[in-house]
Amino acid sequence: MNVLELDALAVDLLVEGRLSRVIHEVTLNVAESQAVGLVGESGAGKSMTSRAVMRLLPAGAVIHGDIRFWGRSVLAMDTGQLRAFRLRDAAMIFQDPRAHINPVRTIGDFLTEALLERGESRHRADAIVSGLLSAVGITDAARRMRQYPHELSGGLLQRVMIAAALAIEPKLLLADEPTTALDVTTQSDVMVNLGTQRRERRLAMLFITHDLELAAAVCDRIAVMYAGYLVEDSPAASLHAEALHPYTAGLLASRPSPSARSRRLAAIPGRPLSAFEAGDGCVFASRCPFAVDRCRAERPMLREFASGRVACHRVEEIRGRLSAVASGTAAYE
Amino acid sequence: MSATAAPVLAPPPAAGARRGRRRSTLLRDPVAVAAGLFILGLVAVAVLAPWIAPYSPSAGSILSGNEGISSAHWLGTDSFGRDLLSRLIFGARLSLLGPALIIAISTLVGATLAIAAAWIGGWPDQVVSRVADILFAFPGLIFAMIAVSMFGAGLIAPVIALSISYTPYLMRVVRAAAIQQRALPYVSACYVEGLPAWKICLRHLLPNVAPILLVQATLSFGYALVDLAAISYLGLGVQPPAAEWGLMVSEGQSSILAGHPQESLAAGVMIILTVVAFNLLGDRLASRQGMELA
Amino acid sequence: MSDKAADVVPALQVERLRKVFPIRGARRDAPAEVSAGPGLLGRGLITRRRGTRPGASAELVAVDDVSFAVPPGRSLAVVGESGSGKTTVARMIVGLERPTQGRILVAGRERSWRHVSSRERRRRAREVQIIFQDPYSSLDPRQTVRKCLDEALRLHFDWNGGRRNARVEELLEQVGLARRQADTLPRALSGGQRQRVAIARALACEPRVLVCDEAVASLDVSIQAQVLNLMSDIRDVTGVTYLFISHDLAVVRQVSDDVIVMRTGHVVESGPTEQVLESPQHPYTKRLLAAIPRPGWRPTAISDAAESTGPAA
Repeated sequence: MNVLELDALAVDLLVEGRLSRVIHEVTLNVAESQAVGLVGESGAGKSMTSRAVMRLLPAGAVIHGDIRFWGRSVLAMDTGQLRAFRLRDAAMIFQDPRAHINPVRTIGDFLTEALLERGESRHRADAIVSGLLSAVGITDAARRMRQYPHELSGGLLQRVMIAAALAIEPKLLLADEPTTALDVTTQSDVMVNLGTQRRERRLAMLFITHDLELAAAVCDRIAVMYAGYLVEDSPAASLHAEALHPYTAGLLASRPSPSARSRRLAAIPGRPLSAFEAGDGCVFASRCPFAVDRCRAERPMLREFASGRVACHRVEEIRGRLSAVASGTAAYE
Repeated sequence: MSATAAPVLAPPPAAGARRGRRRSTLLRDPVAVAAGLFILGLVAVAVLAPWIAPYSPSAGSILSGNEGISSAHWLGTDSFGRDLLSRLIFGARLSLLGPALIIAISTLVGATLAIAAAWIGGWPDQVVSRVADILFAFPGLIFAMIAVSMFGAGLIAPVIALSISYTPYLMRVVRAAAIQQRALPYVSACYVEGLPAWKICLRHLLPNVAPILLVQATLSFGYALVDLAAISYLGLGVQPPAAEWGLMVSEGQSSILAGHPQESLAAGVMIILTVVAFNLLGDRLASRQGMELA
Repeated sequence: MSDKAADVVPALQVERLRKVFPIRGARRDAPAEVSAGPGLLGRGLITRRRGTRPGASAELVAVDDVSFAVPPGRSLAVVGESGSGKTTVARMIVGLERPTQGRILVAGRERSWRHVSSRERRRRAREVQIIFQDPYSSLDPRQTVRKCLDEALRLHFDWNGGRRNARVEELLEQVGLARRQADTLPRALSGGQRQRVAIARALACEPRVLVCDEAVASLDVSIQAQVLNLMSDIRDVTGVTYLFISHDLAVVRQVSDDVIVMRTGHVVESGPTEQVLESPQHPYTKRLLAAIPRPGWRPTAISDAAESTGPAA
């Protein structure tokens, strides 16, 4: 059984009075101790997916399909069960720590809140939290716990958020762009720490990011989303050698490298579509250099291929060319 | 302001990623539309008064004083026998003109000072803010009364006094919004482009603070109307035999105990309806821009 | 930074540039503690002015002794993380901040920062322009694209309406926007499109130097690639000199010929981009390079200084 199962998950949001689909039938699993990267650009729906798991969607949203945690449906939980789920089983880390922490309460208050809610004594909660702070690399925990959020830098604060997430000893971690707002050196530190904690606690993680390279480095599997659809789900190790979907290959090819300059970057033409802009046929067809008539008429379903899954009609034919594109040896056309 | 609490607006969040269409939802808002139509109707009535009103506002004899509702007089007559409906209609002119002047003057002066202070910063901004602080401390009505005692009753003295006392409210809101806009990169881009400061203020800052300015002006109109009506009620504003709602409330007072409340009632209701209309419109404009009425 | 630089007048040159911000009301023991959020405060060096008593106002040295020269047509990248002072350097060059000390020269002509008249500012606009990071707030939301570009043209050129219109369309084409987008408001445009408008606006002034302050950092990866290609095309066509401010060494490798690396207000390393990135000398540059996600990379713990002291991390 998997820690997290998204089963044909579809989400409709209320946009200007009308329901509009922003996530289209996403099916994805996260096993114990596994890190799955959910990667995409603006409008892909990746952030919305993680919020759906915690049932943190805006008012009026309608969810179809199912979300299961260790086999139990999250969507079917009543208020009490949902609260327990959020308090014990799943934890979320957000992009901007400053927006998700109460500025008028101390770090210590913030960290111990969930534990006290669960009935731990203050003494024990403090002890757990001190231990956690050192685990995330923050020394002098006692002093830090008395400080307020504005006294800490972004990197420190994000570590505090991670500590808060780990404090409840969850089985599932949802990290929504946790390092995007940090400096790259801080990002590296934070990811090392997060990786260590995750392995020690055998945590399952859904890691949302726009940075494909980062996801490939820290996750076991990569799930690529575009315009609300899941277009590829592959092992991270084989991603560079064998990107299955033209969009993934395009993303890999369009990223400049610090080790070499390209004469011209392979750029995917057009701009990323939002979910509600998708028409019939393959959602990526309008930007895909490999698109043929079938792609524009008939939407490809996600199917097993090689060591992953992909939603593309032509994956068998273009396999070789995609590898060349992803590694920069062929142009994106 | 004097009689009632002043509306304080928090400026909207800075122009962030507001992508996508944002059609004018104001026209779809029934409350805003109703309030807007009422106000427009009132203005039309005021403009067309000589053609609409059944009688002249000053015509009447004491013999037909304090009559109730009849086919000849739809709202009855006042103590001097003058048709109430006609007096209400003509009263709209002065009752709307006064606040309009107050708002126009305070907006013009307030917005100019605010934007200039926001742009220049430094000590000119400090001076302007401190002067505004001092003005805030003065109750507008008292100010108006002092002006009347110095310059005589009528419309002019109270209007000028109230304009001065309303200016800081406009100014504070516009200054906050202007400072917020000024910090945005598009203003820096204009600066680096070489645009002269006054052009940046006029062509870029002003249009972007105009929405919040409009909201504050709309809300203040209601308060100005009440303040001016209060002045007239006290006998310090428009003088009889002119028709003005505040004055009518005062004149009709003695008839109330005699069992003829129609004059004060009718005039009072008009004041209330108008103020409510402006407040509702202002509030709807505000929420449409995501501002909070604190 | 080639050897032949001495012969050619640099398009842009700064000498011993320094910027100090006074902080009112900061506590004497501010340095170790103040680390509030991103940006300058807490990342730079906060020092107490000599001779003042404890508790008096402290100051933040955002930029200290920065010098470089960019030959015409070349591009220089200024690289650093938050608090490095790179954005302050850019702002001083375009005139949005006044240097505390130092000189800025454009095409050999020194820019004084004494009171700059409106006319002088307009003249300078033809020399240096800037593109900002956030495409969502760097365009006036109430101005159509055409009006925005037209405004710049009217300011600098004495042309009639027809000629200006033609130039607006030329600029739009140059940045890859469709003609029909000229009469749209920014809110109908995507981030990438808005950034193209910002580039067109900067180009409208026909500057010698284009400062790009993290101009692609907020864009989606696929759009980033498009815009980077566009910038290189523009350089080929107009010969403009670029000053790229960036935290992203991969972008820097792609777009710049030379690079300077900044940290807490100082230049720690400089040289041709290829050389600096292939064989970095300074430990900080090495750390920066080691931290960039790329094929085959794994995160490593590289930040210096323990969390409890100093403003690091």
